Amino acid sequence: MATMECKIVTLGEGRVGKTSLALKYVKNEFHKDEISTVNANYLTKLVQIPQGSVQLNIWDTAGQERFRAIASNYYRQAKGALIVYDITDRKSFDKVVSWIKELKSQAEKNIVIVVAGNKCDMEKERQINRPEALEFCRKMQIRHFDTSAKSGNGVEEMFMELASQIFEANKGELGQSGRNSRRGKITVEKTKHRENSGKKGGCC
Amino acid sequence: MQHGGLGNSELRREIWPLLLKVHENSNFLTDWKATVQPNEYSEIIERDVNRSLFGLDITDHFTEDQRLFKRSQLSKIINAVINKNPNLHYFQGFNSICTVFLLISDEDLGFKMSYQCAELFIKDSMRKSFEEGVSLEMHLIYELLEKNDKKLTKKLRQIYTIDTNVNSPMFSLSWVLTWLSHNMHSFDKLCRVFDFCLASHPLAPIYIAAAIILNEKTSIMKCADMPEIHQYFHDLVRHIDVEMVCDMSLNMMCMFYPSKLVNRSVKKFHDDSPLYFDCEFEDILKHLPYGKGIQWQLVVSVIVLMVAVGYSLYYNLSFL
Repeated sequence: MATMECKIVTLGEGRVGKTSLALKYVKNEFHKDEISTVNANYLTKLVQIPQGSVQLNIWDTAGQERFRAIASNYYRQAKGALIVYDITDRKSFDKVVSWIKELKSQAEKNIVIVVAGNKCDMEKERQINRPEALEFCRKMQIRHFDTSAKSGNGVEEMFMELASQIFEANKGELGQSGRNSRRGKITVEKTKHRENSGKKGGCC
Repeated sequence: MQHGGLGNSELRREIWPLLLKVHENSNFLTDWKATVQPNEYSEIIERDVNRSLFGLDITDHFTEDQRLFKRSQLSKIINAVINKNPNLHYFQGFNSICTVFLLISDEDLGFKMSYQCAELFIKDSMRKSFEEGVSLEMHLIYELLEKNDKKLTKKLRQIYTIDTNVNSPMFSLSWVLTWLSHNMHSFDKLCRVFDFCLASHPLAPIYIAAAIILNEKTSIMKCADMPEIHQYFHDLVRHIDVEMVCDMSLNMMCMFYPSKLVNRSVKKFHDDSPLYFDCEFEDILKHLPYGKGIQWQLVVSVIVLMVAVGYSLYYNLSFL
């Protein structure tokens, strides 16, 4: 069966839950004290969607501003980006705008972006009201998801949506064999599982 | 430098402050607790501290209270380092280095060692941006690799230039930034790495990274792309043989002196870079039985062995 292999990248302020969301989705793991990411982690998962299957190669980047120049190396040729903010932290939401701008100007033209308002299990401490976030994303024509890496709420759904949108956006290229398939282009190849590594999503 | 490094915590508590020249800066370092106020990095520091003291074997059995107490000490240490010197900028990973100094000693000495380490060893990681310092150091890994294995270097260069446009093996950035403290589980092994870094040269982490890479060259040659390489090294570092890696690094230092390596940088480092300070260490290197010297050692050993075998044969034969 045709497998679309694509690179996606997680972006967002430090400690919003980028690594936790990726780990929850790929390995169904959650650690309260997830170690901070230095540079980037790599995770991969094969997703079955009604149209076919998509292998998401997820580059999970560090949040601190000074790693931002490095992060740009990871979103080059990415087909999708997951921008994460923490619903209990106003500043992290403000960063979403700058990430979207940066992706629109620097990344691939048809990159699919979704936004995750993470830590929705901490509703009581919410600082960004939901309608505001939804309205913002609607204007940007970007899907928004409420997620909780802790409970798993919205996580599966969000990655599925990301995979479907990427599939739709790139299905024209499906079938054209790409020499550089692993680097984010799309090709038809035998489904290949990459062993997921990393107990705590450390770094490398 | 010897096998096993300093070997135990008591000795490290005594020797590390000497290697970090804490005594030479004691006036400046006293009363540091008056400088723990918030700064531009306090938020990210707080977030990182709240997930520190976790993931090492000796912190595994901490009670929650112990962990919280140590975290409050760590927070003070990091904020004070940043406040003491406005030229030092916090990076995610510095928390892991300070954690090691805190765990080996106490809050006070932990601060003093962390500050001195920032100033004398990792200043280039703490510039306003990585591009001003540590990124340039990262390029030097290729210089070391090139001396040892051209094919491997070519392969890594190809993969990383195509995928990232970056002229360094990016997967090793966290090793260099944190002296492996972000990647290790064994505190003892980690301290051994710190022994080596503190006793040698601020470029030691670059030699260590090159040694780890060289040691895995067969596997790297099989990797097709960046994801495979990242994945390969993800869990590997916590299982490496640190003794062997330190030994290889020292050997490389003897063959390619740090002062020479620094000069191979495409851009000059800042004038106050610790990379330009150290000269004493190379005098020691000259007297170590590594590099060219090792061949002489080998020749001498072979001669001694042959004489011994010859003598015993002669003795046995004459006995017959």
